[in-house]
Amino acid sequence: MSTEAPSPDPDRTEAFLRLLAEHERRLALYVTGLVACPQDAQDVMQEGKIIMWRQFHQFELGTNFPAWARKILFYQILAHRRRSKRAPSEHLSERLLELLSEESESASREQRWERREKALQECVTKLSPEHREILELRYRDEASIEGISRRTERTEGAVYRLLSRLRKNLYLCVEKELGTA
Amino acid sequence: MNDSFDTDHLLELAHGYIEGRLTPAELAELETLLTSDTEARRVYLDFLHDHASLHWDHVGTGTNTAVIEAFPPLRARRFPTLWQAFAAAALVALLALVATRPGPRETTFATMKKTEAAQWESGTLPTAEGARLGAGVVELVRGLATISFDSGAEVVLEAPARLSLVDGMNCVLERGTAVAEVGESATGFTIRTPSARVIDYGTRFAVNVDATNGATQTQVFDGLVEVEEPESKKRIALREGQQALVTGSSLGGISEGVEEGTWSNPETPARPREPGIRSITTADPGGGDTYVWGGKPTTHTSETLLLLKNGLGPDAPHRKTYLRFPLDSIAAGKIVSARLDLRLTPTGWGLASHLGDSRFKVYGILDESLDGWEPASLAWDQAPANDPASGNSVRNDLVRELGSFTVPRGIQTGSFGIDGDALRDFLNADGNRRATLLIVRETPETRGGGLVHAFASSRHPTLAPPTLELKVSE
Repeated sequence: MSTEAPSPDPDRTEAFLRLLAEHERRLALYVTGLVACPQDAQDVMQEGKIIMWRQFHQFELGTNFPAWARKILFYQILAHRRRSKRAPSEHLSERLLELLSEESESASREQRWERREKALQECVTKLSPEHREILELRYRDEASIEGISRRTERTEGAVYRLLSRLRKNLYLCVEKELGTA
Repeated sequence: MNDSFDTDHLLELAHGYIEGRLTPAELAELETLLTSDTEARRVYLDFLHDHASLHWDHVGTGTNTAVIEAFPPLRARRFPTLWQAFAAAALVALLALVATRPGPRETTFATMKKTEAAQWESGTLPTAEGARLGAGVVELVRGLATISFDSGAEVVLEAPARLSLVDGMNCVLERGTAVAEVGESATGFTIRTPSARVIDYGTRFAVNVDATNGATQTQVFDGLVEVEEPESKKRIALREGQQALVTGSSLGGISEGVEEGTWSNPETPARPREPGIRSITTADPGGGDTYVWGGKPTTHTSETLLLLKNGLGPDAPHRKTYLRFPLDSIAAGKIVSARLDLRLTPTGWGLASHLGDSRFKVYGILDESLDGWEPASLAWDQAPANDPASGNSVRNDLVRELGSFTVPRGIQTGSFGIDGDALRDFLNADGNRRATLLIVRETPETRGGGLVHAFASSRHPTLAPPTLELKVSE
């Protein structure tokens, strides 16, 4: 069957699981930053983890696991886009994706996003309960815009605009917290 | 903040991209902005990072967990759960690997049960009847193939089609048509397509993937099926007699009625003519060809094809074909032998699986005063020797049966027709040198929405028109 069967070395297995546990969240954020759609990102992560495991024998312990993993995930993103058979005109180009990936790498190197995430948590608490509910519906329950519109008795257009405003306000709030605005 | 671009506008575009609702012009604008400006990329990625952390870390701490979608996602969603599940599964699998030598694994999960007039393109799986199948790809260019999954699902593939087998409960239809019959044991059997996931709950249904744009059409004959648009994870439930279309990332509405779905429509090349024989076609001066239809009105009409169908029930859109051959150039009684030749070509309407081998009867119209029909305006009610009230019958007092031919199940191209003394005698006896032939499909479909057969007409751009090939004595 498979020619790339993983080595059943238990130490190696544990090493993989540890590294994955440590970095999986960051890797998921990296993928989501590039593909934008969280459901696509989940699919890419799922596939990507399997590929990582299959190719783990090529990884040299002690070297940079996140960098190695991001490379695999980047190709999984491209593969996922091709599989999705949506017109290329519905995506940002692959060339631009490479530029974004580089920018994302440097953001991780600078650890720019750790502080950002803390600030974001702060800013979310400042939202009105009503607005927080909209975000929860979108992110926790993964409701579509249509689903939110049904649930909150707003039109889809109104939900779309409200979500846009919420995201922008959060962004500006975070920038203010970080003192960069 | 910055001078080179409008942050607010960039974030608006980024929001639209996240939601998949940018127009092509807006997407192009976003692409240009991000490609040309490092700072714009930075702002965009920060914004997307906020979005990503909101998704993966969720918002605040859990308060209410109302399920607001009609169909909650199947997959485990929460990050820790996903991770734990994966880790646990991986550990179990790996420990198993360590503990026992990997023995021979059961890698097949389906059987090539039956093939009919099948011709295959290079795939990765065996195509012989009875062959056991594992994960891989089959590509059918002609005919029908029935694949039986051990899980209890059965899929009939209609050419041209490409199907990728994943496991006992999953396959991917990359293009073409598949009709699935799913037993109770295989509830949840899923056919993925480039644009949708079709999940079955014990039923019979058909899925078609348009090779040009990946659009997915699903039609349910019995039971219940869910169609999911993978982008939005939006699902709709389809019940018996309903169908839905998924194009790009939009899930269309449900429409009622089992009808002939519009499936694929490839062309077939013309058959070479035989030398040494007089050919008369319906395209010759004085000739003509057309089809008439009765029953339910249909938008499935064609200028270039002669359609034939024997539908289920009197209301189904039955279709019959009329041909007129001018015999002016041939003296009465001089025909030694005669053959009628027709080029069968796919219509793309209806399912070949809903029809067995199909027998077609050719009649000659006896009353010569009926030979003057107009191809462009011939109607069901006025068609010569047609019995308009009763679906597919003809007025036996006005016709003589000249012969019949059979198109095997699954075949939609090729050359068909009749020859023999009855045809020769009918043509020799013709007084006004205009011979009208009526063609009827005798075989009714076994279920609604069955295949519409068609022969090339004299207006077909590539295929030869209906032709009489006559051997004439000196």
